[in-house]
Amino acid sequence: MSYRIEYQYATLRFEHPDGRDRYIVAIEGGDNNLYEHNSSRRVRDWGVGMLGTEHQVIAQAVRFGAGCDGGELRPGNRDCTPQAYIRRIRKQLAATPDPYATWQPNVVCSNASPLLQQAREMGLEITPERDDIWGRPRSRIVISNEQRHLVFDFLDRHPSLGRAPWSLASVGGLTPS
Amino acid sequence: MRQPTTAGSTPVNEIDRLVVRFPDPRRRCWDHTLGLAIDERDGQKSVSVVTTMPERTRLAMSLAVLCDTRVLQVHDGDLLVNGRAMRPENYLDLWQPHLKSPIEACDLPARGVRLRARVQLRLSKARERTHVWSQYRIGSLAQLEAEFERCVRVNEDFWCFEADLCDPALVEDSAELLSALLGIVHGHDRSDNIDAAAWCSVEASLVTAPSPTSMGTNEVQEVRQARAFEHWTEMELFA
Repeated sequence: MSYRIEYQYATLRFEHPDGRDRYIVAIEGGDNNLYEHNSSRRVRDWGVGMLGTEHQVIAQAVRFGAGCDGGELRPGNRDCTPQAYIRRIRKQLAATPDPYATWQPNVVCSNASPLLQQAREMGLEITPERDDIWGRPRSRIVISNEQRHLVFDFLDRHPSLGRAPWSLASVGGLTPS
Repeated sequence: MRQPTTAGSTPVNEIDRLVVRFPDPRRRCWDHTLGLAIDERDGQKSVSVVTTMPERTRLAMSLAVLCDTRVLQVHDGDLLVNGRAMRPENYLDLWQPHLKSPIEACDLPARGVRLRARVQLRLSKARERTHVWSQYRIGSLAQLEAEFERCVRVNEDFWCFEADLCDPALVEDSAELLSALLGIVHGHDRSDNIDAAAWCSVEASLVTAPSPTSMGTNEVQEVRQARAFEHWTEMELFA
């Protein structure tokens, strides 16, 4: 059975205009059975693992940490319990934010998503995505860096977005392992 | 994510938790495990089946199952533990020893809990149903009826089954019975072919101590039913 390995974690903090700090937990991870071309090194990349308020991030850690119980998720390629995973993420939130890390909005959603309607009402630009998931077309909501707090506003309004936070933002400036 | 409890509504207070194992000493199928939580709200005790079904043919209690349900409620403050708010990770720690040392179903009445398996199938379709595994020993309702005749009741419209899973006479058979029920009732159902009248549930109830007026029979205090299967809810925004 394949599983996901998480190699490194980094935290980014964002001062939201509403006064409540928001966090992005960036995770470098990859599948256990995918290797780089001509190498024995497993493929891995940085992405958004969780984001939102502390409460939202821990709720996402609870959901994703469930995978540790069945061995589908192995931080550091080691066995881990869901509770140890949640503790790891809680510790990560308290860690000093990575000064070189950056993040940008990267909101991609299904065309059936109510998020698109909200984006239209807000006058945001929507562009179709070339790829789709299981034959379902998707669109990208274009958000400028000045408006990036909207990512968290979307999450507040549609809590189920927390099931796939990597579809809301992307990270950069982080050192690969 | 769920919204935090609003002022005025009383959060549920979990006062005890149990994991029940249905072993199969004959090794004909796999063991089943079921999680039960005893809750208190406004002075009323109740018991809930906390296991949801990761697979359609098996009852399997795990920390992963809890993460999707009660752990999030604890995190949101909708569920207290012994009257106190708790961090989700500490709540999971409470369940760990119960998962490692589950109790047998026949020990449940001593803890004040009763478990029943119930099935209802529309009679017109009941006879056609077979187990999802073609080689399973109890492969059809006729074979199930032959093995557990005393639990079956048939009326004009429905084929009904009811068994007390705490019955000591069923100890050796309960795992096989559950495998047969789940495999026959739900094994072939797909989202586009659901028989709405077909269901299999495991229900837990609390029983009070025998009272003089109840002639020594246990009085059911409150019944909480949990359907054995919940259909996978697609992610509403990304799927």
